[in-house]
Amino acid sequence: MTATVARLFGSILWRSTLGVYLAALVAFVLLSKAVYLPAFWNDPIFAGYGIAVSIYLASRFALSMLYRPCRDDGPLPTVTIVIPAMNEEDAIAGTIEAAFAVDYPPELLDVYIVDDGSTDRTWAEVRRAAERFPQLHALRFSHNRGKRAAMAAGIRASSAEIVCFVDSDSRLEPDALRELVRPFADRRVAIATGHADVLNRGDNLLTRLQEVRYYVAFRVIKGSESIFGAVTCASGCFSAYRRDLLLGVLERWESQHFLGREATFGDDRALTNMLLRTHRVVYQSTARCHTAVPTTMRRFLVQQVRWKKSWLRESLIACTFFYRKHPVAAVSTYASNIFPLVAPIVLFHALVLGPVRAGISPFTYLIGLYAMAMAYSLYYGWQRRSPYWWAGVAFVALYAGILVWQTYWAVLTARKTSWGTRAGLVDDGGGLRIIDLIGAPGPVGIPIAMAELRAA
Amino acid sequence: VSARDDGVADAIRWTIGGPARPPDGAGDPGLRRRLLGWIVGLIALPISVLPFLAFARFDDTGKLMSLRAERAVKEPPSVTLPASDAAFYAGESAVYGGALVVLVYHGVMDDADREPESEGMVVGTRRFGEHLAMFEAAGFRTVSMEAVAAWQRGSAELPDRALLITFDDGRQDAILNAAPMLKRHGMRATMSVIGGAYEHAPAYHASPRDLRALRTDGWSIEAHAAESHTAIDAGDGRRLPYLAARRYLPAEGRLETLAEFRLRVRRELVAARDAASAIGGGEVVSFTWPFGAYGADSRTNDPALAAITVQEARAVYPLVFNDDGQDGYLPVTRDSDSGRLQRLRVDPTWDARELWNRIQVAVAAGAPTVRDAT
Repeated sequence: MTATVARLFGSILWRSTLGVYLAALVAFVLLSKAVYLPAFWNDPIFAGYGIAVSIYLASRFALSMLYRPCRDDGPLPTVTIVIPAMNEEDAIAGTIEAAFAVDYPPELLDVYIVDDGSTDRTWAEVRRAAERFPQLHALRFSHNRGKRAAMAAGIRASSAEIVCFVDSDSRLEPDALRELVRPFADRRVAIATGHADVLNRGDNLLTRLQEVRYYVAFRVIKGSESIFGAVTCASGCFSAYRRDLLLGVLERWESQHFLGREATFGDDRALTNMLLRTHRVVYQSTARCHTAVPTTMRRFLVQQVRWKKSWLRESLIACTFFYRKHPVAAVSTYASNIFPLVAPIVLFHALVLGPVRAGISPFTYLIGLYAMAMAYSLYYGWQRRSPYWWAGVAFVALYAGILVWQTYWAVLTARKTSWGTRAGLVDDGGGLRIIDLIGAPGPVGIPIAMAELRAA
Repeated sequence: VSARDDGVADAIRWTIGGPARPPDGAGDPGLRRRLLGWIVGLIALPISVLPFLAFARFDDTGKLMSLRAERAVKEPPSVTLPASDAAFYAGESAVYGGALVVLVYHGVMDDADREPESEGMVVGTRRFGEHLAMFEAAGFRTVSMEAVAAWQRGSAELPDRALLITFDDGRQDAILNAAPMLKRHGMRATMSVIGGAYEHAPAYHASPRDLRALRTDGWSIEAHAAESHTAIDAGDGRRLPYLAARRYLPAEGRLETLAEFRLRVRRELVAARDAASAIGGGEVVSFTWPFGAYGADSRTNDPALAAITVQEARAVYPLVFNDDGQDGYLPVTRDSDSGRLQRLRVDPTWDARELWNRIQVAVAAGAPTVRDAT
């Protein structure tokens, strides 16, 4: 009782402290913007950029406050959870276990593991798990074909109304799946994407930074996009798709090429774009999963370049149809596609060209950047009642120091399509053998039904 | 590459057979770690304010922005002299007639009170307040630029102990600090403005609207520059004030001719007048040289230029002020050359008594009529 009261009191104190600080910051940003407004015509490009980014960010945060998750309580659809796996002998058993721990009627749920030609003990682990979970289905590629092919195989093998993808390094809350399928009561909804928190956020500073980033990317960005049914990226870590719609775009998705190369990553974004043209894509904040993020800087940077590349490709594609969406969603999406391309120039102008050529102090720009970072961080600390709010500032420093510049690196190396974090590279080999391990019944042995399939 | 490298494996371990909801952080963070997290999170709050404080304290823009915020809620300080000082100034100040003491200030900021910079551009707010209190006690009468022009034309007289306070550059801090302080003493001043400066650096310069509002308090808005508050290539490796040197023309590999120089100066002088008139919304009768440079000192590449600049300035403005002759400063009289009127640059290190002394010495040497106060 005392502990509860103390916690409640602490929470109120913490939130009001951060709330006051946040309000003061917003006032500071507004005041400085107002002071600098007269300089607009003197430097329309850079001043315009600053104002546009501020409006964009403010509108995102404001819109996200209007976001409400879907509360529909209709009949549950049949669901297939598809888990692509590649050399994950340590993790796969836990993934399977967690998939079956999900609170969903067993007669409406099945799970497909697609082993993308693992060379370690992944497949053996899957077989062991199959002894415990008779409803487990498993597919295996004879050699690595890429995550996209693995996902497609899972989609084809399923017969459920909804296909749900869970990354092998993600964990679901017990009620996550029930929550995730709620939005499908609306026939216009093609994809529902869940909320991802960072599973290993306590590991080190880098994972702490990513926790803040994930929170804002999901709760703020996807939340505000969801109001218009126009989430631009249904996250790969936990999303559900209407299977009949998937089948319509599956071949096009599998054979997607970009700049003459087969598209081997950004699978989630690519699929989102294909369905977003005609349907709604929504975010369901109550469907929560926890996903593991890179713990070393090198891996993190490699992952970020990969994300940038798929962002680049899919942003270009999104530009071809987003004007048909709600005007607010369209404007903010086009704007958010332009900002990262311009940001490095603006940063260089403010921190290098201005100070060196015109003797302008970079302090003014830096303090503005810092104010933005603080606002972002305090918002996180306030919403999550987290003492690790400061990680947001560290993330913005990392972003301005390194990640911003990666955009051009991604443009320059757009045609280089190796995965970076996965050992297997893309292989467009001909006859691929897929071993289908279907419904292994009984406690004795694993009867394996084999099916020879040819790659399309 | 195993999943362990991704940091996944450790995070996974607790999931198997365990709860799907992770505690804060992978594994059990433990009470000590959680406590540490909160302590760091709490300490980080005050620390996070430091960059803002540093900005407000050390950056020019930051100082002006914090001053702006402070002035929105708080008046500038009010300074009163000790009774003995006030009595001294009242009793000892010379009563001079037919002469005008012209002072020039630039900025007025709090931090200059802490470290007054000799020959600096910014005087401390409290020090400026002391100066004003001294002017009042000593019986100086501040006059407008229009009154000075009328006096120079011979169509009006100046009061005894006439004082012209001028500010150059149209700085925001002069508006925020000096204007309300002068108003409190019932005094007026002149602001010489740079065309386009506000649009270029709005945090640093006063807005045209604020400048125009000063006129209702008796201020004059006069000309200082259009684009001449800059330096140009003098061809000898130096960058010299815009109006004080012949400009090097790199395309032709030569210095501009004297005729070209004259034309450039004339255009600039007219542009500066038009800019000041547009900003202040009134007639412009005076000009103050940017950087006090018009070719008469070492900041030139041709000694013949001063004659040209003064001639051109006289053609555009009834009154032209320079900052020459600081050591033997003499007040302006009706006989002064209207193209070479001198101002006394108020050094931020001078206290009220030092300024008073200099004015007394100047009027004793240069005013047509001088008598004791009593």
